[in-house]
Amino acid sequence: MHIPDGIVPAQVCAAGYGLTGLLTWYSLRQINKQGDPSANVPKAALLTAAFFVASSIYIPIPPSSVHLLLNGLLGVVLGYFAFPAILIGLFFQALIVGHGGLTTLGVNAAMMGLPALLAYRIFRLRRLLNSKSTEPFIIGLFAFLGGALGLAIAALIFTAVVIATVPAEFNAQAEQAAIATLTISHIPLAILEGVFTAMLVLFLQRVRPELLEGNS
Amino acid sequence: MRRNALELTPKVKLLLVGLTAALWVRSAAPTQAHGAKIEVLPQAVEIIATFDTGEPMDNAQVAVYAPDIPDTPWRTGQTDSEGRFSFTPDVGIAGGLWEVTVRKAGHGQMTSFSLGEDANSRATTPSTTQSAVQKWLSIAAVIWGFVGTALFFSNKAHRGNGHPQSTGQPTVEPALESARTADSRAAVVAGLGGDGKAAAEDYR
Repeated sequence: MHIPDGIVPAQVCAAGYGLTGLLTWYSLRQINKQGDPSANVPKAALLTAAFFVASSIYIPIPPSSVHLLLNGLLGVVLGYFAFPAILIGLFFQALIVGHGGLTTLGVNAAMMGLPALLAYRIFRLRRLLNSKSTEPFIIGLFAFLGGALGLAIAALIFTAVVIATVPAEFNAQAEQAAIATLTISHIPLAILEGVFTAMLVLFLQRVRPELLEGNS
Repeated sequence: MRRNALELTPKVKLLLVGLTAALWVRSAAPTQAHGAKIEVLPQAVEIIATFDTGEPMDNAQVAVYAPDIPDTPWRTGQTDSEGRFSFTPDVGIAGGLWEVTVRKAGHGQMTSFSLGEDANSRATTPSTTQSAVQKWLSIAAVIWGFVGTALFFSNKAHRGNGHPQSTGQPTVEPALESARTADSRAAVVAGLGGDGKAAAEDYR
């Protein structure tokens, strides 16, 4: 679900870089407000590695296969660190694996990073439940929602950007049908990543709850 | 659209089997039951578009741009179920780069080629030159970079946390410990040459 070079016009690439710049500034500012910014770097670095590899892992979902994204998971577990982590992961994916591209790095980072920040917000919504917010079921449920919606929102942004930029010389209907098929095949993936996020969060909650504390 | 390979990857391999290609065989209209006509076009160019997993880009949209009009497509069309698309460049158009764009659901690639001299010329997009081994080695190297970063910062965090926790304990042990690590670090840096002691001092 990465937008490669040459698919979207230059204005969209520039706007993507602008938005990514703003979001990076905002995330780093929020990180700086936390007590010790470097305390969470090990966790962020390891999850950046996971995000980097995830796009090379394909899950067969008929009629085709889709690759993992894990942006919602990063948002839930890392909080504001998710945005720089995704930006760095995408940069290396563009260079090493050839997923995405350097001109579309801004568009891709905004497309996956903004839903990650939303996923973090969704995960934190559980605190509205006050006393129930520490129950494993509630934690798991909100982690699932964060992981699944993070991916689903990214897929919707991808669809919107690609449909809006079909060049005039191409058959727009055929392209829209192809994109619709692609978007629908992301629904099972969203559920899968949601379950995976919930499992990881519940595991961390049991084994190393302090890893989640910064974000709770 | 059974094999929707869209999500497979944005990396698309465009293989232009130039000029060798394709006997383009065209039969006459079916109404002429006994008449048939075969045209052989040795100048035809065939494009094979695949995702980098090897799966063909079927029913992908193709736009061909001639060298003289680079902003309006000279021809558009769709690849077949094997990701192939053929066309015969107009020899009347002066030499230069022909460009081909293939796109399917937001994934695609552009490549260019020139007609001419070498009858066996094949053009591929440069991104396909990496072998699988090279690719996974690079991936491993990047992962190691991330893991190294994590180890470096977790080491730093542990040292940061060590002192407050040791409050009330005899302070000799931690002091010795940090002196020992600093010494060994100095030794390592010195072993690398240069003014290792000074570097170690700065580090401490």
